[in-house]
Amino acid sequence: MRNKVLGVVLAAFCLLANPALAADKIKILFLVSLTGPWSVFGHEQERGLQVALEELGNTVGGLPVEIITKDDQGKPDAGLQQATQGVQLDKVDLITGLSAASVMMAIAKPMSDAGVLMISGNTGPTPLAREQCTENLFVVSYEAELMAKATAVYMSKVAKSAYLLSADFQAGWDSLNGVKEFYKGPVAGESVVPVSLLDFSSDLAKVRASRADTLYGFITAQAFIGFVKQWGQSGLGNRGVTFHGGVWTADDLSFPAEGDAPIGMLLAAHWFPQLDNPANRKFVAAFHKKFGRNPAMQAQQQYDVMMLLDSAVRAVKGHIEDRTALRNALRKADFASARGKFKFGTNQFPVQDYYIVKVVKQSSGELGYELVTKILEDQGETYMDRCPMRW
Amino acid sequence: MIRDGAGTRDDGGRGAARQGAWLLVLALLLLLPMTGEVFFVRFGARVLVYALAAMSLDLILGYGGMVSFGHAAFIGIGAYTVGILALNGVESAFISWPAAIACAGLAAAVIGALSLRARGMYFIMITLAFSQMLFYTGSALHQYGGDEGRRMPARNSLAGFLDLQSETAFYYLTLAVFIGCLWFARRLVASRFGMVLHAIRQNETRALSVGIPAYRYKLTAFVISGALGGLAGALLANLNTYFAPAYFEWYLSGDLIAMVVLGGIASLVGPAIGAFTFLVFQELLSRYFEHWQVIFGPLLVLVVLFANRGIYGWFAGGAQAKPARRPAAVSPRPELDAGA
Amino acid sequence: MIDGPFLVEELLNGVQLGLMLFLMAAGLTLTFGIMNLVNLAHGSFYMVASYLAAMIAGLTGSFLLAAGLALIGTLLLGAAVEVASLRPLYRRGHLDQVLATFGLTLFFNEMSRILWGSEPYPMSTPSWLSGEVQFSSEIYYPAYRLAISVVALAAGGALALFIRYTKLGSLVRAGANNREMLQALGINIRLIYTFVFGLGAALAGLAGIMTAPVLTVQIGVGDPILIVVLVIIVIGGIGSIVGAFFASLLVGVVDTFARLILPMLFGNEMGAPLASMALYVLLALILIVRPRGFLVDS
Repeated sequence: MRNKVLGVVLAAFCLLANPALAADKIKILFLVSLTGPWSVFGHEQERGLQVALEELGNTVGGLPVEIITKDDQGKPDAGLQQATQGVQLDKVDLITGLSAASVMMAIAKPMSDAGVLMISGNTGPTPLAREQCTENLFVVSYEAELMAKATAVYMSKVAKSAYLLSADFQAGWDSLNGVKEFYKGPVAGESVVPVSLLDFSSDLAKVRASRADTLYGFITAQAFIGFVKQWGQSGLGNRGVTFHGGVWTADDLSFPAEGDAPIGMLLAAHWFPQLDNPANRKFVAAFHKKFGRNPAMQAQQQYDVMMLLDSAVRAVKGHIEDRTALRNALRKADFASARGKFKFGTNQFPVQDYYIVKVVKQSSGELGYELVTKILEDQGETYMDRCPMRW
Repeated sequence: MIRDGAGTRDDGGRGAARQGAWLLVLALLLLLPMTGEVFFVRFGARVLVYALAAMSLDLILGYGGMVSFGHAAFIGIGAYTVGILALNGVESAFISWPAAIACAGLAAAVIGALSLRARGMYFIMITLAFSQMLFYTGSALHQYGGDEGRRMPARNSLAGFLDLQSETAFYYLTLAVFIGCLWFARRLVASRFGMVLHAIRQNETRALSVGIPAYRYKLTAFVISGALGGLAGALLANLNTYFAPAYFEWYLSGDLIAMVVLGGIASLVGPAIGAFTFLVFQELLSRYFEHWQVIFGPLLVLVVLFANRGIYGWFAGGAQAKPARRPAAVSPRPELDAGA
Repeated sequence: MIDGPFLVEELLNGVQLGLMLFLMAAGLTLTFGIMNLVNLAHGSFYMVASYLAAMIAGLTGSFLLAAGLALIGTLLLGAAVEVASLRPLYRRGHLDQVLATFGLTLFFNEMSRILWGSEPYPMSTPSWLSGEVQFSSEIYYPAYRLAISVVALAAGGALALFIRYTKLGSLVRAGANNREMLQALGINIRLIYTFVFGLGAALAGLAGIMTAPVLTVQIGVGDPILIVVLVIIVIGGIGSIVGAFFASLLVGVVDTFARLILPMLFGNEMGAPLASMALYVLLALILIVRPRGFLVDS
């Protein structure tokens, strides 16, 4: 028995241990949701990463790159554990990916305190753009509240009366508060529904009873496809109600599953595949060639993360151990973003344009976007002063 | 049958070998920080926290025959007590850990008092219902981060005795707490109280007929288990310096049940082995194989089908041990007849 | 906003939701009642069926063909799972059953991810059911939603008739009451159990197929539904089809109205989480008052 115990314990420890000395390469922890409620986003980020690495020839700023992919399962506890493992055991140089807000909120402070650089390719929780901002976190995607702001500013122009629908979780409440702050028209009603709600017919009935001409919706994770289908089946769109929301509600990931239901939806976006600039044409073409469809925003964001990192590592001539220099190089954001223009605010969140796009059936028969208007220009955090960082 | 209640006691000639084995395990645990690898130390603390949680569940699951599917409720309460106190300026572990134990114990008293009349599947479901209510309560506390949870400013302080911000110090403290609780739990199940509990699990009707107030005994066990769960929750919040409604979730209750059965039910040490195995598998398999659940799922089925005394039973029992000699580890099948 | 027609519509919504849940609950309570087996993998059959239906509908373009093949597929899958892994579990406690079937759920979720990927899978309503049914100028309903209700009622009715009036049904009932007696009479009880489990899986599959065009076809889509359905069969009294029927309606209506009324009383901040809790408060209350289930005397 002694031998059995000893053997098991030792074997376990040996397997866990990994020779972990970074030499002439850059080691990146790609921490994303591969399972759990945000897995769709995580896998799309992975595709964006692949396209970027192919374009860069598996190097970043001239250094060979090693990617260690970890699944955070969308759970804060698991995410923190995986991040700790990556930093302490695998000795990674930085963390990217970051699909889920709850995981981001759990790891931001301990990783930042430990001096670990994080570059988010998807989630950008508003608290981290304000009081809790940190020099070790760069967010390349967008700030959660600004997507709501873009929608709200547009709704103020077109809506007579709006019904607000949101999922009962922190990001949903943040978006709801963002809309209420910036939407100036009358609110006909408001519903906050469970995150994993299956049947929206009751809420759609409330929308109709309220006689609103505009529905703002923040439904994500595993519920939004069901919501979009039921929205289509409810016929509200044919009865003069317009849906407004974030671009993830209907994108190239979900179009096949949603059928024609999202046609006519007005969505806020910081990027969309039809955006016309050289970098974007190159990226979309490469993605389309590899995966046979247009990318969704998570792929684009992760692609931009790698391009940004490439520019910064190049600028410090591969001396990634000099974190201050690397940070300063990242802050310059000297890369060709597929969004056209891109820069960081002092909170290290993007200052960028936001658009309103409409879901249309393209001549090819597939769904796509049509630009309605550029609603916010060079938009960064509304209350930038709340982040004490200065540079 | 009642005399066999202390099924964890050493029996007969293999005692010395077993003692040697335990000393070896203890030595390995004490020496772990000497590896100098901070990740192992942290991982060790994590295993010990989950081991404590699983052991506290084993008290009612294995010894009391109460299949609770809501043990996460007490982990969550412990974590939230510590977290909320910390965010309101109470940083001393001497205040907030006892508070966590007390709150979890109190919650267990209320939940237990309301649930214990239900049997079998009905008991499983009512405990699940209470933990789900607490889950939604946690998600509704927007000032504490809603569903995303909140960070604690730092680990609790032990006022000069130990600096818990150090991973090694925290590991040793967790180890001490775990060993203390294990000692307490072993004494408890071997005591008269433990024997009566065992008798009730074997046959509640008979216990009632000889005048044992079964309900009161079961409730007491439930409260003790919940209080220990609260302590595990307090440690978990400190380990991660983070608390969130995820600690209330039924997935966690399910994981804890899996740890208990995997390691060996009604053995107290078994659940700790189960926690170790579970977490090592989760970390290891996921490290080398993205679709690790394709392996882990069938593994659970195999353990249930072919090793129903768990890993501990396999180690400690050996092939020759007759089932009748280890009743606590063999027949914790409390509600074979329930629900029909 | 709150007027007569609106309340009627909300009631209809609640009943609708209840019937949708009943499709799933019927199969679970069947295996639970007859074989005394807690089957957490029930949600997996739901998921696999919706994937199969979506895949076949995508390939052939026929909803009915897809539904038929997916139904047979889940029946066979259920039977295979029973033969391969569940037989030894009947004599075990609920604890072992919970754990083993939880393991099966992990396996099926991950296997589906390998086979069909993480992205939600497309499945649309058949064109001949995509219109609306107009009840009044105020109340109209998607035809497909009504079709779900009709199928749920028909399946529940057929199941009840089958168990009550057919020879096989009486054997199934007898098997629940006295396994040994039937074995002594030379009846192959194992085969009957395999059939019942397959039938339960097929019912979960039917639920998955019917709801696929309305909900998402995705990994783990059955799991949150499973928890709700467990609550339903416990409220209804384990093993009772009729109990499950009424409990489904009760849960559907309570859930719908809790989400309407509680936010009005307490505001959204408090009301939304309270509404999410309503189902569990209902369950706890019922079990506190009636520790062996509500709608059926034991």
